[in-house]
Amino acid sequence: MPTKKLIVISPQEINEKDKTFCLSFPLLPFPLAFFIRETGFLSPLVLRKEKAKGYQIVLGFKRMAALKKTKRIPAFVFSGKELPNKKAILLSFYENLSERRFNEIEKSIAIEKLRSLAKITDEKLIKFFLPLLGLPRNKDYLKNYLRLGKLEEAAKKAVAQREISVEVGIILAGLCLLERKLFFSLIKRLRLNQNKARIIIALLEEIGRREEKSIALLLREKPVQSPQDFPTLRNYLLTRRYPEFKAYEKRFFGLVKGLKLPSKIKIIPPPFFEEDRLKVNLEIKEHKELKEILSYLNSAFQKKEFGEILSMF
Amino acid sequence: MEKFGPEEIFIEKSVLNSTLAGSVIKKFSRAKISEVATIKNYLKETPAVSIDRAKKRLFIARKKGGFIKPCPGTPRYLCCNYYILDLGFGCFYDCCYCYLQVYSNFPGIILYANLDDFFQAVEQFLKRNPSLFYRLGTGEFTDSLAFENIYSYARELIPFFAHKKIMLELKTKSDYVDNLLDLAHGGRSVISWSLNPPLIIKNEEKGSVPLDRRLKAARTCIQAGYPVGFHFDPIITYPGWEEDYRWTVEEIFRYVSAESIVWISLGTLRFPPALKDIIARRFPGTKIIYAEFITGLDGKRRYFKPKRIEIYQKMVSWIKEIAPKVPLYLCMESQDVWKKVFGFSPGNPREVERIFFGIKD
Repeated sequence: MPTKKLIVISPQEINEKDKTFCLSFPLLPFPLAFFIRETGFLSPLVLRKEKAKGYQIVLGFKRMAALKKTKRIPAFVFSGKELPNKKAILLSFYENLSERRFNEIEKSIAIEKLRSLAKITDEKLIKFFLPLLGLPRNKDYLKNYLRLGKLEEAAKKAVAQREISVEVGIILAGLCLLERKLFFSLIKRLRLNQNKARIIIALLEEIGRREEKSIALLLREKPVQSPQDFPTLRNYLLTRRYPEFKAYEKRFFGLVKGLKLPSKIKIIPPPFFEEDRLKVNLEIKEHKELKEILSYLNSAFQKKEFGEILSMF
Repeated sequence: MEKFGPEEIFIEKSVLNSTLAGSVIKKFSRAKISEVATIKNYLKETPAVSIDRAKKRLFIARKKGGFIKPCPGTPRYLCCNYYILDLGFGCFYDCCYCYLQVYSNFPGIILYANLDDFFQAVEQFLKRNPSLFYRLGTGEFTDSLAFENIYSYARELIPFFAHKKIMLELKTKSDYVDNLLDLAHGGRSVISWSLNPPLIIKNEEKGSVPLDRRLKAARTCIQAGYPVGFHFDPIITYPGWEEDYRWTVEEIFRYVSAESIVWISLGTLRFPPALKDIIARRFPGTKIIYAEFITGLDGKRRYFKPKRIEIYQKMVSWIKEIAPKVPLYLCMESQDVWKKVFGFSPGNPREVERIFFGIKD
């Protein structure tokens, strides 16, 4: 960077709304007043003077937010020629990187801005910049983190503040606007982690395909809205996704219930009813118990329900 | 794409002078033709290509071994004792359910040029197994007749098998049968067609020949004295499938007589789990992967067993209504499904084979 003289500038002159080089999210003001009082020191802002845009902030967004009410702010000012977009965003990136850890949304913002303002190729982003951000050198990470930029403010905040995981954020980002809003509220309400969110969204996608309905439409349905926990919602969606299988399973367990067996005897169907035999689990501690169980089984085998169970295989 | 038109052709040096290579060079003079030492080496040096691109590339190669192999079948389901004559790999038709799509190292369509080595392998195979009668097909990893307009494997194979104690099956979704009609086949070659209702052919078997043309080709083959077979595999359910499949069954017998049919096989849609994402990506409009599938004993996704039984029972009843004596069998199904559909179950693959027409050991 060329050597520049320090100047003082009125905060009103600075175009605070221009966030071209801002990599902080959410932009929370730093407790600077306290810091200045304690240390008597304030590092200057770095600004770029553009004819059309006024003074753009390159470094110091948080300081600016905290010092709005002061009369004068120290700053280094560059022209657009001295500090073109590429240099400015790289300066912002490295400065921020040296001072703190980026949250997941900030990583997404940084990648997007390095790509659009510094025109850094995807190959270089993957090879060089992703590791700087603590991400693996993988094109899927690049794609997913770029996708996070699509999220609305509320979802971005939730990811940045770790209310929802970055993986859930990526799932959300893969949806369209309306679906995102509806699914985001579902995620928050049922506190879905990555795996649970993935299960629900996969089921919704497949139900949507089968029934020719959009995910948004499904998410608005009362049976999808009403469950208060993940297992209830999952079970409802599974029954809708696999109606014949779930009806068969229900019939099987209904018949087993009809046998009125004690809890020490369990009749277990083969996985997906694919094999032609079922398992009977017995739980015993002593000889007497076995006798008792065998007597239960003997009477159960006489019941019509048992015949029906066997005919299901 | 009903006719194959490769954009890139790769010929292994060792088969550059083969009849197949000569025919391909002559036929596709506009394609980019390259000589490669071996496909294996070529693949080591070049990145993998997409399936769409692979379908436009043709490799002419020398097969070095494994000319005949038992059908891999699938673990824990009953196989039919079928053998594969591995003349090629890949196909230019683009069936959405095709399991070859899971082979990520699939560089293009491979056709083998050293047919003489195959014939030698068959002779050796017969010497090793003199007492039994075998069925052998070329349609497992490719379409047996789809490439007939480039090079007629059939004209070499059919006369060769005419007097062998082996039944050759040429299985296809094409109607390229003109090359076959004047051949001395000795009743030892079965020409068979994969069948599905027109809706499935149109939507899920892109580039393949329509049903009526397949059936017309079957009729032509019967007129030339060939036994024919049909494979309803994969049977795919959708709203209205019963009506469409029943119509398709009836359609068969409008074209051919039951007496000329040596077998009809039935198999429902099944696929390795990895294929689902590939299908979803390559065929975003298809709904076939969103049916009620369970994980089968072999790890493949299959329709729920009671559904499969219902499908088979209906198909069998529709076929038997018209042709009660046509041999039917299930492909890669469990013994209990056989029992529920036919009232009996073969104990082993050899017994499945006995179901077919006059097989005499």
